[in-house]
This record gives sequence, structure tokens and C-alpha cells, in this order.
Amino acid sequence: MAYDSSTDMQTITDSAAILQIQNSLKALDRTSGTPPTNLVDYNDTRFELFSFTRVMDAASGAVTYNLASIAKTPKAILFFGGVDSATGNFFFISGATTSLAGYVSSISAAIVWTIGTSALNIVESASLSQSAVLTSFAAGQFTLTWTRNGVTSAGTATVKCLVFV
Amino acid sequence: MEKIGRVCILKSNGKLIEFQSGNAGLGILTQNAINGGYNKEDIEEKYVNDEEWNVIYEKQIKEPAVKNAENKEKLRKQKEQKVKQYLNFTDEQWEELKEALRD
Repeated sequence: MAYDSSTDMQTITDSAAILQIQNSLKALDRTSGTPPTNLVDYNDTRFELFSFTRVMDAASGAVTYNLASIAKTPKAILFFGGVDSATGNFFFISGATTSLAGYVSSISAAIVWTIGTSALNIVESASLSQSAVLTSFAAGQFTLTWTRNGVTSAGTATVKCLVFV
Repeated sequence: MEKIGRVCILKSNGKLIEFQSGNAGLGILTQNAINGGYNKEDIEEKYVNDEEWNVIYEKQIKEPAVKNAENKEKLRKQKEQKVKQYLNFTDEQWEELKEALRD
């Protein structure tokens, strides 16, 4: 091993030490083994920031979201948003696949945190909301199937999300 | 200016139906609106730049939300005042009660 003070680096010349490092790096590389089933493959994963709106009185149904110029299929999505910070309604949601989706939401007056199975839940009041499940991923797209719970009416929600593609 | 997103609006009054960020091709928002019950002839999908989107956001999303929040707060204060009068509490007693309920 040789130390170069000008770069503050060690140069390893010993072949056994190099082999040991190579094996350690290989162990860290999940592609060399079988990853757990719920592990999203991180190799070549990119991140896309995306935003959309949802009118609170919109009818139930499927809505497709087109990512900007990316033909890859999303792997997981993290959603943030609300009707507006001024209303006090907000929510924090994460969704991966339909089965792994979940959300945490808060109603301003009650400040009650709820954990559910929907990918999104935009709460207007205890009995009024727009909820959605993540129904599919496709090349450059994802689809949310929305359910209007009760006669929602208050404004338009803005959702920001981090899409792993 | 750079396109930052796409909007679908009602042709008759400019009401926002949906916004999606990014410069992906047009068509998806129109299809979403049709699926949601709108007639194709009544809607328009187009690209927006930052300035155009900010105008829509301020007028159609933020302003109504702020008004809604103000109305809710006004109603809450009216209800609070009514209960305070009914209980015949002083300001200090009322604040103590609120604090106790919060804890």
C-alpha cells in the first residue's frame, strides 16, 4: 500500500487486498444475488418530479397521468399535496404498487392521523373526500382510479409527486 | 417561454378541469376529461408556461381556497362566541377551557 500525501490517497497494489475489495463491492451489488420480492430494483432508477391537480367535485373514475418525455415504466411514487395550505387540509401519501400503497392524512380541525390502503386520500371533511388507488404503471404513465366519497365541492387539490422510474 | 405543463379547460368559461406538469404529448387530459363526463367539443387541452399556469393557479385554486378558509374560520369564531355566551364565561375562563380541552 502506498500513500500519496499530495492527494491524501492510498494506492493499493496488493492483489489479495484488491480481490477482497472487489468481493465486498460485489456483495453490495444486489444484481449479483436474488433481491427480496418487495425491493424495487435500484439499478438505472431515475427520479421524476411531477405535479397534477384534482378538482374536488370530479366524478369517480380512472385518470391517466403522462410523465414528461419518459418512456420508462414507473416503479414507485411518493405523493404530497392538499387542497391548499390555507385550508389546513393536507396529506402525505406513498404508493408503490396497489398492494403496497398507503397514506397518512390529517383533517385540520380534528388533527387525526389515519393510515389506509389507498394511494391518495384528499380529505374535505370527515365524510367527504376524493380517494384513489394506484391501478397501473405503464411506459411513461401511471393510472389512478379515483372515488368521490360524498358530495365533495371545496376547490381543487394540487398534488406533487416524486416518481421513481 | 418554456412549457411547464398541460391544462384541460372548459372552453366556455376557462374553468380548470385538470393540470399535469411536463411537456408530454397532448391528448391524455382530453381523454381523462371525456372519461369524467365532459364532451370533447366543450373542452380544450393546451400547453402552459410558468406565467400562464401561475395565473390559473392563483385565480382558480389559491384564491377560492383562501376564501374558503376565511369563511370556515369566521363560522368557527361565531360558534365559539355563541358557546362562550351560553356558558357565561369570562375571556380568561374561556381560554382556560380551550387549553384544557386541547390537552
